[in-house]
Amino acid sequence: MPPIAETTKYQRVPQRVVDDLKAAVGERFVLTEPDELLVYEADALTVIKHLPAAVVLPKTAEEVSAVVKILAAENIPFTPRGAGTGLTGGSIAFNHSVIIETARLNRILKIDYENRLAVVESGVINVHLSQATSPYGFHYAPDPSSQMACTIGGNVSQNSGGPHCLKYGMTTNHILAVEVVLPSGEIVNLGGGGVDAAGYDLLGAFVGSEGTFGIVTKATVKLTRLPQGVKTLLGEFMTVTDASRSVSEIIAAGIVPAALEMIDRATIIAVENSIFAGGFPTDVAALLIIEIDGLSVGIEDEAARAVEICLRHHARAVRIAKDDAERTKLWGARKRAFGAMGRINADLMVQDAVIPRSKLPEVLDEIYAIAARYSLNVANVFHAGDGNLHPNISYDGRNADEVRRVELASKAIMQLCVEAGGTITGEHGVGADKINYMELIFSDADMERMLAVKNVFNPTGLCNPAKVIPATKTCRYCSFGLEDFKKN
Amino acid sequence: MNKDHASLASSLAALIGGDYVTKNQALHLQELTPTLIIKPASAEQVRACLAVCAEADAAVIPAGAMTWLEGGNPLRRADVVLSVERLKRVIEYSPPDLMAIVEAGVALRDFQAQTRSAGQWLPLDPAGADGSTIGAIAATAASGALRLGFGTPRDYVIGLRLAHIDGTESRSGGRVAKNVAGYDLNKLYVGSFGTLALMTEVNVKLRPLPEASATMMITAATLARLLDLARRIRASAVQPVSIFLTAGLTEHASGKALLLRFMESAAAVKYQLQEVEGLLEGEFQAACLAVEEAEALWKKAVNTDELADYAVRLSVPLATVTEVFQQVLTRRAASFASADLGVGIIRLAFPADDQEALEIIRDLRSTATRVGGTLFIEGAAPKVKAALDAWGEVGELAKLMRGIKQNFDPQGLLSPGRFVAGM
Ligand SMILES: Cc1cc2nc3c(=O)[nH]c(=O)nc-3n(C[C@H](O)[C@H](O)[C@H](O)COP(=O)(O)OP(=O)(O)OC[C@H]3O[C@@H](n4cnc5c(N)ncnc54)[C@H](O)[C@@H]3O)c2cc1C
Repeated sequence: MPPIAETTKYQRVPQRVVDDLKAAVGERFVLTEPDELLVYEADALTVIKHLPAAVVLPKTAEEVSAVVKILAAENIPFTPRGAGTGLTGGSIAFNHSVIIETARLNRILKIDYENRLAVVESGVINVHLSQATSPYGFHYAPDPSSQMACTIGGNVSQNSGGPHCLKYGMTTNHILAVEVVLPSGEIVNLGGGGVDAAGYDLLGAFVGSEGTFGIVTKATVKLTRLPQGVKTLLGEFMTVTDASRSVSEIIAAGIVPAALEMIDRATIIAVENSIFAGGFPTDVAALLIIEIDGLSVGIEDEAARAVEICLRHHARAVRIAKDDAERTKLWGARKRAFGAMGRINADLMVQDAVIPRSKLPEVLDEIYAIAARYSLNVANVFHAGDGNLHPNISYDGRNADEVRRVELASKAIMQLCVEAGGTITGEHGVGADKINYMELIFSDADMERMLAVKNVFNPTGLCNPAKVIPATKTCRYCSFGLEDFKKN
Repeated sequence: MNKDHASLASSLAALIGGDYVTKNQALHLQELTPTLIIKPASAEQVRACLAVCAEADAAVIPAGAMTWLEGGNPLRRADVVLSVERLKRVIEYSPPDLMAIVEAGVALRDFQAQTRSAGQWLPLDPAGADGSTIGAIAATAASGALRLGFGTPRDYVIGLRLAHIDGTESRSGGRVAKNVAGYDLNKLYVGSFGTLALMTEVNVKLRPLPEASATMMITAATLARLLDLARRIRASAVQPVSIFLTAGLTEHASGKALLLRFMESAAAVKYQLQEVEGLLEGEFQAACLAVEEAEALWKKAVNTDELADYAVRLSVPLATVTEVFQQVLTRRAASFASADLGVGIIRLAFPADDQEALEIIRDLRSTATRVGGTLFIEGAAPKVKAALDAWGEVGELAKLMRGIKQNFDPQGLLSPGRFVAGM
């Protein structure tokens, strides 16, 4: 395959191809006019923008397959897209690719309580599944903060997490099977759908492949029983260090909270000044949301131990949500924190990295120091229980110098986390944004092996080009050429 | 057999010392007798040995404690058995981070003893021998009776160090549990039965040890009553970490028992035992087992393959497990069986002659397939193994799987023939 040249100008899909696409999915579901395409030029990482050559909205797996075949035959790259809430530019249309959006694959096909699973199309919004099942005492456990908008297909592709993944595991622990349209157009089913499947765990490798192995059209997911009891605590701390020490100690004490989140002052203020105000005190340095769930008899004792640990680490107070309404309000405010921060300044760089939780106090101190060094404002709101940081930097994208400082600070933060024994992303993925950080944690040999797997799923490289693995990496074990990657 | 094995042996001896390169006579893998057994001492040595073997076109069988080398399909070739049993250092164990990095040859039993003193554990109790190594458990994705409550090796392996057949090395994953950087190759290696690469180090996440644990055994006059009880327990608030129905494993008139295990805080365990007692209504006999007795029984429930020559494991949708279990029992009344009602796994062992066994296994496999399940052959005579694939068909996915195998082991030297689709 010849490398596809990158130009900054919008490039049209040949009319004949457009006609074929329209024949496959219907006239209305192929967008080609630049003004229609504008909303697709970026995802929630707004700094990288590329106009797709077209957007196609298929309704079924067969239509996705037909679309993929048409494009593959013409050597036109394509990029899967769910709701576009990705924070690392995973669904940006590099190389003038055509976006295949799953918005119309939006049916919940089966809810099967006896087998504790549901079958959904990939464009189903995450929260809709839990809304459908919670009256029957079940939910779909992975709960990204974007769950009101993001799709199950996007979650599968990113192996998304969320506050409650501390106890319940990431998306990968909840996916039993997927139906996938391979970049060749072939439709295959990966995973046993609840039974042990023979052979290599292709499903496991697919989850988290960020749209570069194929397009998910259906997913069979686990349904989890809602816990009998829930207790949500809000710990108020006058220093971030006290809050982080409490986190480490709660985990070390053998308590497995359902969620353990930290919110620092900058975030609290942003949230409380927004319409999402959760009634958080604004005069503290950090808050911990500690949620304990399980059998009602067990949680009292665990909650009491968690409170005791917080108080020992100088918590000013530990509040217990008195009812469901208060609990919902706390979580509503927490989950909308990114949105609220987005209003502090013109732009927001949401960061995502993981460190061993025992290193929280030192690493957090150093992150604030890095921000100060680059004269930037950093706000931390994150999944403290599994060491998954979100140091977010608000800035003004029109200020070139500030943008440069944001880049430098982000890199310094990544390096810090890697040196502490962590990783460059815990849930938002690599996408386009973090591609150059991959070398911080993986050797060329490690990435070659990744390419050796990608090559099997996506031998032409047409599916979601220029993501995850830097284009400079080649693979001795693969047959396909380099992907052309230029950031602008 | 390859002509060059004498020179291969001396090249290997030059790398790892003559004491660790032995000419094999005693170890037979079905029809095959590997020429050499080698025991390198480090990841670097493993790598160097693989390069030398690949150069000599020698088929390599990765091994841990060498207790289950006949698992899967009969090997097509076996020149060198490479055991990592000397790689037995716990490289790092960080209790506050619930994480450890261990060499692949560390025995699970020894590792558990170490973590237990920190109040933690790797909550896996895989079927298989006591001395099983963590590398082999990861490679075979072996799980046991704790699966309902705690999952499988797939859920605990967060990073790997690998030695590849071309003598290169790579790592996958990392040291933290939450990590989505790059493709999740851990998942591919786990359960690949040594056909893609050799694991030299395994990074695992750990869990806090539960405060209390209790096993309850319940018996009744008929199987139907036990099944009904199990259904009511599953629908109630209690959350057992294991819920098994067994046949032929306990000394009861009916031969059937329902086994439940709870692991949590003492208060939660006590509450759950009371809840279950509340469902019993006098027609059942129930008892909490002493620790050793419980351990032994759980072991037996997942190691049915030790009880007879033929053993199979069915994996079926949860909603069908009791129905399939009943069918399995009628098909083979005089056998040893257990059903993991929380996961949908049925294990069955039975004595039979080869011809009869072939028919029974075919029959059971079609029973499993009919409900959307699978059947794995855990133990069988060579003749039967040669006639049936241990896992069954992988269908349309064979192409992708072969593509991966081809990229990782182009000469087909790692455990050739052992895995699915002739790989
Ligand atoms: C306010 C906010 C809060 C967030 N909170 C969290 C959080 O708590 N945890 C977390 O993990 N993430 C979080 N995210 C990130 C994001 O929501 C998740 O990554 C989510 O899974 C993306 O889903 P999506 O449908 O929007 O996918 P998109 O953004 O459309 O796509 C994401 C990637 O998946 C691929 N993709 C999408 N659909 C498919 C498909 N059907 N088949 C193949 N590939 C596909 C795309 O090509 C792209 O690479 C947050 C984002 C925002 C804006």
